[in-house]
Amino acid sequence: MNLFKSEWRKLIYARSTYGLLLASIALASLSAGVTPYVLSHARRFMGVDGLSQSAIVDTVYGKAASAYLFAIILGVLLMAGEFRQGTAVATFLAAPKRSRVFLAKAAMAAVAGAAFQLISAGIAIVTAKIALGFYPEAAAPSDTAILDTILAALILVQCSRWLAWQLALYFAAR
Amino acid sequence: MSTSTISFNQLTKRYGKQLAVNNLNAEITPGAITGFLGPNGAGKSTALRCLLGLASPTSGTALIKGVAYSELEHPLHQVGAVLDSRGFHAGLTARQNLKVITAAAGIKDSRVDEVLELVELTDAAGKRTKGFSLGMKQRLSLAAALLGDPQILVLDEPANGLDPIGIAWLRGFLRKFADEGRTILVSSHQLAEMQHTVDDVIIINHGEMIVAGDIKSVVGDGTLEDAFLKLTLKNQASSNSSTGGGK
Repeated sequence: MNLFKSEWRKLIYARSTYGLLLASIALASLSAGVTPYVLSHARRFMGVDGLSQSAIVDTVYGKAASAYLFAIILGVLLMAGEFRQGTAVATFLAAPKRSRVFLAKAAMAAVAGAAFQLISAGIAIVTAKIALGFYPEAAAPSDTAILDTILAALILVQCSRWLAWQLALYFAAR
Repeated sequence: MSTSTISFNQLTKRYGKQLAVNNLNAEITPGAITGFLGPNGAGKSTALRCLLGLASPTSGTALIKGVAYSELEHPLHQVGAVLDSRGFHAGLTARQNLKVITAAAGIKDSRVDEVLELVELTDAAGKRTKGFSLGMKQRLSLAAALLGDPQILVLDEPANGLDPIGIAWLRGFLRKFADEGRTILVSSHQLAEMQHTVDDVIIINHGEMIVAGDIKSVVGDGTLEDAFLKLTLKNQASSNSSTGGGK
């Protein structure tokens, strides 16, 4: 628990965390915000029938999950930053059992990644709603569109974070 | 029952073909400043890294009160370490850097401002460490080492980057710490400086201990530098002749 608190402080003290959060909000909102425009012209080149179907409108909301990359970068920085800054020595002096440190970091990466996605997807869903407002012909989304998007955002980030973690461990072990 | 708080027992550390520390045996007693001396590359830092659980010995042990560092229940409450390799997050303030450590070690946060005052960094507590001078970073390292109010202090080349005032201050600080009955092990290659600081010395060269004892018996009437040069040259000559004889 102590180590988790320490990781939490590393996260909230570092300015890079807020930069990444802003970037992820911007990317998710942009993705979701421009999609109605793209899809409204989609008939011409994709054979999709504009925004008149619920399934198509759902993809607009789905775009709100697209900032997972930033949540992964955050997780990578949690580990790599320690070596870049030289703080790894202090961390391992305080917690000589290294597996506990890695566990705390993995847990923090999961929690922070989820928080990042919830915030950026939440804001992007609002953006999507506003953007769709400009298209009166747009169909209503299916009932579960927003819930699905949030779930997808969480699953996306945790799966890809896990993948990144495995890659990092693979290279660290070399 | 030995009174030593730090003990190296046949400590050997090998990096590939490089023998960094070879069969080091030493006991460090409390209430004194022990200098761990030797030229660059002698194996001082490696021995200290083994002692602090940052490197694992190839064979032998380096123990704190008879226990390996990694087995200590609350390591920062027992041992404080000032290491060359230690860094601070440049984007965090001095206080934030220390609060990351107190959280990890379960030390109460009020200790942060106490240690910053001890090392006279109170004025810079809220500043990002990016702009810190080398001397300020050394003081912050010392502050970090003191967080757990440890009985044992291990310092690796702490005088590096300190100006004369800083060195005098450090010397006074270590003396006070030792007079409280605590244990100090300080490594250095700056012999002239160490002569006035330490009570006991352990001299190593090429990973092997050359001599250990209180400074008077090691140095005699000359300077620490003289004694060191004499001892290392003698050591080198004997090792050269032995390898030469083998060929």
